[in-house]
Amino acid sequence: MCALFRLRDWPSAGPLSCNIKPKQGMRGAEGRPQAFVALLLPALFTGLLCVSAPAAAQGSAGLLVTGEDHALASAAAPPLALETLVPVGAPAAVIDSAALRGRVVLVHFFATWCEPCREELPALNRLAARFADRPMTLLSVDVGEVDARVRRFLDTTPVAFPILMDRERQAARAWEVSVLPSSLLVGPDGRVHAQAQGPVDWDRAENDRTIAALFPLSSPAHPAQDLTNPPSGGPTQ
Amino acid sequence: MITRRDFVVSGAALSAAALLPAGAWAQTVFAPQPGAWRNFQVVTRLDVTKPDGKTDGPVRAWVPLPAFSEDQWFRPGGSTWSTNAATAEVVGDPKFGAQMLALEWSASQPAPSVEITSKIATRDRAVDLSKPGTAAPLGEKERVTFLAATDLIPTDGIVKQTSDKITSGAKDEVTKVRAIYEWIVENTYRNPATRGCGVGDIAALLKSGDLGGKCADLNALFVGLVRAAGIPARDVYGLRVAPSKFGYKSLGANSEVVTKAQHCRSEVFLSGYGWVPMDPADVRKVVLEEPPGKLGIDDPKVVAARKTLFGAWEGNWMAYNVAHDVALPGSKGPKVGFLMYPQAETVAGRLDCLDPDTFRYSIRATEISV
Repeated sequence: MCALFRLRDWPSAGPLSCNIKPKQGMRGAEGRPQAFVALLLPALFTGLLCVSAPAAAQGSAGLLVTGEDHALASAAAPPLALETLVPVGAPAAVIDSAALRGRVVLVHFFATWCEPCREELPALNRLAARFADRPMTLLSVDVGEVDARVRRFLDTTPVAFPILMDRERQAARAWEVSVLPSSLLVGPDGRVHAQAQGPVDWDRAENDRTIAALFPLSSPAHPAQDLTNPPSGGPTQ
Repeated sequence: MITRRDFVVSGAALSAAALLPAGAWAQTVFAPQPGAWRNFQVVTRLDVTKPDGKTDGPVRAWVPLPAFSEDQWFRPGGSTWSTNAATAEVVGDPKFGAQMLALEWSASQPAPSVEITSKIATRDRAVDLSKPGTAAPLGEKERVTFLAATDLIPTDGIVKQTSDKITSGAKDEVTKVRAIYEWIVENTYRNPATRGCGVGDIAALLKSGDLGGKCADLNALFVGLVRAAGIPARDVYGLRVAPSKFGYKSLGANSEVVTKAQHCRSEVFLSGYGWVPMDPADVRKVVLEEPPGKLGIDDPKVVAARKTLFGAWEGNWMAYNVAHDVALPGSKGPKVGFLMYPQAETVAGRLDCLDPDTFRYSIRATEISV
């Protein structure tokens, strides 16, 4: 599990990284890097790598995945305007992150075929609940799947936040997402302050602190606007 | 045209394969050569299931048709269909010429279905790259098309950087393409857990550092790297329709039911040789799946496949099209990266074509005499 690190906290030690890279000369019978074998998870439906992290095994305090070397480190977050998943027959709705300027926005890319992504969703529900009265919005972005598949998945795994449908993977490309799950934390200034490639332990207090550190000191305990974490258009409605 | 030499070579290879005991694999066995044409009938049946309790709204479907045509190795024989759809028409992709049967059922149709019967003729291919070729150059329009980036196959950024690194020092087209082919074989792997044939998002593949996938991933990566080297290349999306006569269980359809036998191959246009067949993804398939499985890269079966699939294909496969980024006519949904599976939409939107629980279709292939 990854903790969410601020960019300036980027660890220099390789083993802490969830961003798995092949090591030359480490090849199994199928010719793939053996370091990957335990990490690869079923189904590369979107063409994106789905990874879990060896964090727990390493006893690491933070498997992090951010860094100054990330393309979006400290950069202005790309635009994000996508239709949300809605119930069958309901009119389409669009969420545009531009309307969330001034708030902390956690953008979480996932897919239903990705095992660690699925495991992470309940903890994201809890995270959304903990920050429900703070100026933070959680936007989950489903990458490259059809609505019907995501709705079917939500029949058994309801979520308490909106799901944006990146049907043609354009948002994933714009946000430099090459592995799933991936999470990027955007501050009120519209810049990316932290990111994680791979699953994150959203119940860890340090992640809450990383998020809370981005709130303006004068931010009210309760949000000024009512746009927080509306539930997805899936079966939870 | 079948020459006596072609016949002797093919016949000898087939005889040798039949006589070889298990384990006695000769590298020369896998040697497709243009020879006799084989004719197949392919029947695709699609039954669209409406969402529970939802009977409103029309149902649409798009089924790829084998319309690709190359007189030397693949000849489509047309398609007929029976359906309870209100409308059914063959429509073409304007850029790549891919054809599909587009259907629409009224909301009142309780059980939308269609059965399409297609006939095709195909045969082995092989290009001798050891001798100078005399093929005509590629037309400018096609050259532009098959050098261009697609949504999932960019030719700049990490793809260009990787291609440049692989081909550094290579002086001519064949050497560059050979270097990329060998790099794919050496650095990628077939991931059996990949849904369908993969997606082919090659930039994400390279950025992730994990080069696993299936044919639509690995051959798309090959195509993208070749295009980035300035050499026209394309994926050819199709379906395995017969067992391999060379004994490769992993490289053939071993049953009449070929519903899950979709496979894309790749071609590279080499000056003087024309479109040259290649399939590095199938080399990785042999590594993973050829019995007893998980073969070493130096296993004779792998060595033979690696050598042969640079310039040859076996004619136990049919081609649908070479299209990318296909917009489905009449759909408000997203483009598909490639058109190799039937697609359908109901009031619930685009259905998951890889989910057998909610999207039911079957494909049967039978070799026929003409």
